[in-house]
Formats: sequence, C-alpha cells, structure tokens
Amino acid sequence: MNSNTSVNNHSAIFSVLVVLALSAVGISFLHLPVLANNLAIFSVAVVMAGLVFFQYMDLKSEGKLIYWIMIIPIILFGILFVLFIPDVCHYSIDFLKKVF
Amino acid sequence: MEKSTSLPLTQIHAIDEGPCGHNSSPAGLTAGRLGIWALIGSEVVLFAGLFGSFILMRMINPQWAEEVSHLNLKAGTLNSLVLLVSNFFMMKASGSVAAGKASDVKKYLFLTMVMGVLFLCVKAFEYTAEFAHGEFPTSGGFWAFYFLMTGIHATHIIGGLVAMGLLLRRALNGTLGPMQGRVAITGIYWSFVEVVWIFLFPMLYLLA
Repeated sequence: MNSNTSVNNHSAIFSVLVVLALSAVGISFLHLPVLANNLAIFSVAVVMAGLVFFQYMDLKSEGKLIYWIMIIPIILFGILFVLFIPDVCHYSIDFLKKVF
Repeated sequence: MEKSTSLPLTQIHAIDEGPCGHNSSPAGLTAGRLGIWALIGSEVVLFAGLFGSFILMRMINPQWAEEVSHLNLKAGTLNSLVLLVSNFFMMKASGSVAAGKASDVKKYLFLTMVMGVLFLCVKAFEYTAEFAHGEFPTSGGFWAFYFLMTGIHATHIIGGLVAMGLLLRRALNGTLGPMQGRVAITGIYWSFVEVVWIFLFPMLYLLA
C-alpha cells in the first residue's frame, strides 16, 4: 500500500468513524427499550474500536505475539466480569426486570 | 505533481534505531513496537477493570441514571469529534513520515497537539460546570467513577501530548532523523487513547 492509498484509506475510515460516533448519539435519542438501546450503542462502539485497532493501529499486519498480548487481558477480564455477574444479579433483580 | 518515495507504515519502524541501537526483538519486532503493544496490553487490563467495575456497579445502582442526566452530552459529543480529528491528524503525521515529507510531519503533529489540548479544555469546562453544581468525586459512586475514569483518560492524553511535543521539538530542530519511527509508535498509542474514549463516552453519557 503506498502512502497516498494509505492517506485515502485513513480519510475514509475517519469519515466512517464520525458517522458512527454521531449515530451512537442519535440512537440514545430514539428512546429504545433499555436492552436494545445499550446493545445498539455498545455495538457501534465495538465497530469503531475495531476500525481504529485494525486500520489506524495497523493491527491487521501484526504477528501472533501482538494478538496474544491483546487477547489474553481481554479473556481474563471476561472471566472476571462473568464471575461477578451472579453477585450483581442478586442485588439488581429490579434492574434486570426492567432490562428484560 | 510531487512524487514521493513511500514506505509502508509497517516498515518505517525499521528506521527507528532507538537511543541504544537495540532496534529489534527476538520476535522480529522493533523494540519500540513491541514495547508500545505491551504497554497497550497493560492499559487494556487497567481500563477493562475500570469499565467492568462501572458496568457492574451501574447494574446495582439504577438510580445513577439521574446522575447521568447531569452530564453535558454536547460537550461529550464535541470531545468525541475532537479526538477523532486529532487521531486523523496523527495518522496523517505517520503517513507523512512514510512519505518523507518533513514539513507535513511538523504540521500534522502540531495540529494533533492542538486538538489534544482542545479536548482537555472541553473536559476542564465540563469539570468546572460539574464542580459549580456541587458534584465532586466524593459526591457518590457515579461521580467517583466519572472523575476517576475521565481523569485517568485525561492523564493519558497529557502523556501523549508530552510525547508528541518531544517529537515536534526534534522535527523543528531537524533532528527527528533516526527517531522518526517513533511518530508511528506514538500514533499507535494515540489511537489507543481514542479507543478508550470510544467506550468511555457511551458508557458515561449514552447508556440507558
């Protein structure tokens, strides 16, 4: 990829990121059900983060070592988060009833 | 039309000799590139822990929705756009290094810093308004998380600005030469700071 293509690519990614950021704000004004609202906004954030990681941070051209450096903390966080959910559910039955 | 000799972003790290001349690791990466990804891996632990704690506490405390309504959504949205523009300029600076355009490197590093400072100014404006309304880190769980997470993020912004300032000073003195790979490495760090905000902004301002 030459530098001109790279800059054009960055411009396109930037435009998409701006649209997605404004979309997330727009979704919050739609007054969707709590679960739908939060899932939609979180999905937009994940897509934006993916674009930045793979396009701006050039993760797509990295080797396995870098992927593992990123994946291991995320897996450990996921385990920790899931382990806490039963405790949280115990204290937030009302909240979960609203969500589901 | 100006024709530029270009290097892919993935190759410009080979230019970076580092201050001690140790420019490659056993994994085939430059020390700088491996180091920045290791730093980001540790930062993921820090921020994921904070975000996870916030989400779990938010589930336990539905009354925090009232506190969220006191945040300035317009300022938060503006900051999101400012950081996106800032990161775009940083990518242009990295691209300019690859293309060997020294003047563009200076210009885009400066613009990136200006947008970073603007982000901090908007955040300071928000903090001032919140303090004026009597909301402090000690005002409750939500505000403790809010000031902690945004404060740590702002500290990372300041760290990035310092790194960019050092690079800009070298670029202005014409001594960036062997360290130009660090522009791209700083760009990776700056992008990560943006990713943190990409999650922080909806979590604090938008989630129902």
